[in-house]
Amino acid sequence: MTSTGETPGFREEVRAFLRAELPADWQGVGALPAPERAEFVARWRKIAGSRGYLAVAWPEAYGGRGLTKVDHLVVVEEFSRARVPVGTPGDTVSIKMLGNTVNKWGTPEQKARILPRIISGEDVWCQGYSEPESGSDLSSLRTKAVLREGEWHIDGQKIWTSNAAGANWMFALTRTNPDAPRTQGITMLILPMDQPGVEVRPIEMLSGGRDFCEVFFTDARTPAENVIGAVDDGWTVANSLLSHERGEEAAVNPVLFGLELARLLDLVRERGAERNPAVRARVAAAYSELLVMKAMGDRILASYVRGGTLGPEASVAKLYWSEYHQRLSAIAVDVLGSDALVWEGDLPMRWFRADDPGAPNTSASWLAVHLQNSLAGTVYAGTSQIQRNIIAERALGLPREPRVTKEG
Amino acid sequence: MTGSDTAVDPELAALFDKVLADWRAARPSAGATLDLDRTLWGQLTELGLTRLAREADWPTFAELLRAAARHAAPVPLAEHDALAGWALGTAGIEADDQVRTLARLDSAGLDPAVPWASQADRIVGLWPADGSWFVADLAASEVTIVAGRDLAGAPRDRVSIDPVALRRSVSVSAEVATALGLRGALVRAVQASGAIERIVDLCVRHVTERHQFGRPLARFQAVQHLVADAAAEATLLTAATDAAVAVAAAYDSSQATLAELERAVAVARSVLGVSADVVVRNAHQVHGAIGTTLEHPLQELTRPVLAWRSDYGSVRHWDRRVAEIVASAGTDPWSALIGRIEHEGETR
Repeated sequence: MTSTGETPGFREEVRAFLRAELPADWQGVGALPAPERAEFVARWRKIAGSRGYLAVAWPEAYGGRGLTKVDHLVVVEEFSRARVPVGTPGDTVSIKMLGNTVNKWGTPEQKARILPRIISGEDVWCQGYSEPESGSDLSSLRTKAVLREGEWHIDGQKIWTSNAAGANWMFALTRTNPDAPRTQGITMLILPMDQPGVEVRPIEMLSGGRDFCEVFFTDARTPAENVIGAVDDGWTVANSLLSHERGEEAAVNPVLFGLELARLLDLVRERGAERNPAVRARVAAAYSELLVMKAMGDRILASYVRGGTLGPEASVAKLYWSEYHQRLSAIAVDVLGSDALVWEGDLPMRWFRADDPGAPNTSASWLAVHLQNSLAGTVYAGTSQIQRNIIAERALGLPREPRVTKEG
Repeated sequence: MTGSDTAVDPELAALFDKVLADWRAARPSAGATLDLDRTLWGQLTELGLTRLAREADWPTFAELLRAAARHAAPVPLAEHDALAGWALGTAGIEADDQVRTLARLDSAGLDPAVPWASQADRIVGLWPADGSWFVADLAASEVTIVAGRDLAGAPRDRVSIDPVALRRSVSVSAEVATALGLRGALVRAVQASGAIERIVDLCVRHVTERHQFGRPLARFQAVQHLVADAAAEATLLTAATDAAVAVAAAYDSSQATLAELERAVAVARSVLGVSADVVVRNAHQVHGAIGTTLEHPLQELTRPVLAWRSDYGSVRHWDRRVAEIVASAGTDPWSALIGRIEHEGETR
């Protein structure tokens, strides 16, 4: 438990709230039948939002509580312990990424316009970053935005945009100065999705899912004032957004993964694998790694709360949790053995991190975590290879990877 | 065991590849599920390739399985020929060209996960009763099938057969029952090795063609290592699988024992357990988000590999068998795993 930096009395308040709102025999959202889960999560989001718990670090005027990031971690810890989610999967983008960035960089007018509508659920956001030729190498992006007569005119294409079909707003990195060095001619714009110049095409995934989309801009428009931060300074804004994402997840992940490890232990016992020496060794290693992750997360959160931005240590955390999670979910699949051949049971509601607490230990639950979730973790939000490059170059000061010539 | 006769007629291998490549070039795009392609099956039958396991040698059949896996062809060559067909042969039951699969039933007549059952014409049941084993050849309409799908989206169905229907079955030896399980485990390793070789090819092509930071991905050492590790695992798997295929051939001609067959299969499957992990993970890692789309050929290969490696014994099962075989060999684990090495003019 985080003991420093909490607002006195806040943890008790959250606990009292949870006691009052949840039934005494509450088993967790995962224990609900699949059709009821989404309905519960939507209802629960309203209740939590009305009390300011979705974004406690935002000012009260914008739907928050005017508290700190550490208090946000208190909410995550207490909600997780009570087996309820903080917000919906879409809040990862709407609140954690865009909302926190607007809270830091937005004008007062932007904050008042954008933040309350996120908490109320009126606006759902998607993130327009990756392009077909710009994945890991994001700063090579080519989607062009030109300011003419009070409006930005946007042309180009984004890809791998989660939930573009369900979102009504996008924040996008666009090239506004093609003559500047690559990272200095990029602007973060926000634009409405419901307009003739924006076309969304879902990409069918190997899982059969259709969450990712391609987004095409053909003279899409947004008013001149819809810039987050300064024009041509979007790269700075994007990096601070990444710090929000990393700083928060570094502290929150150990909590979610701790609940998941408890589910894995149940699975190991249910399947009679608790005396298998290889399984025991792997589970013990996972437990140790989780403790390391927790220590690392608390440190990162502390430095984030002090300075507001993060250094390359955030890359260490991202690398660590994503590779940890692949090892962890592989244990579950190995323990399931031949039962992992067939999908049985409900699929998890969310595609990031763990299945919900209380979810039965079915093959479908763990297969989805293993194949659709943990496998993706070392690819999205900067691949493990990118993280290692950042660690080598920025944390260790090693020379940039040499350019190999054809002859070399 | 003879390790030298694993060479396959290159013209025959080229024919296998061409038939399947032509099919693939003309087929509609892949979906999330796989269904039996009757047109391709008919063509393979005409060429005699649906009887190859029974009429040619093991290495040749293995080459066909690998080609089918490389091209992700939705046809039950292994189940129809090497399992169901072989089981009927041991029972002296005549088999026609109808599509068959094998159900390994429990005493109540249930097999919860039979590949291709819902799309086969006939189900061959292997059934234990009264301390003996029986083989029956039943029309699909005579058995109860609840359709399901495996990780690859292929049919994987629950089959239950009324023991009354099984009265028309023929008794086989317990060794046949054990050998069937080992043949099942082996064909999965062979199929996976074919798919894995192709996965490595796709990786090499992708990292050469895809540019980021102004150069091909292949110029980044971290990416090179991912591909190199995958290639090493693929080579190891092919070697272990070829060795097991050679022992299977020797077993069929009574030159190897059932224990020797199990040892070779267990090693190949244990190797598959590791290499599937490394190859699938590294391949998706180097392909990034692109490799997770349905339209990309990568998923047609990686999903079956993950299904096959758990079929006819999980990774854990085969790792444990290897350990048991080594432990039971007394003080000489080397010869337990590798076999005795006899040098010219030297006796051990």
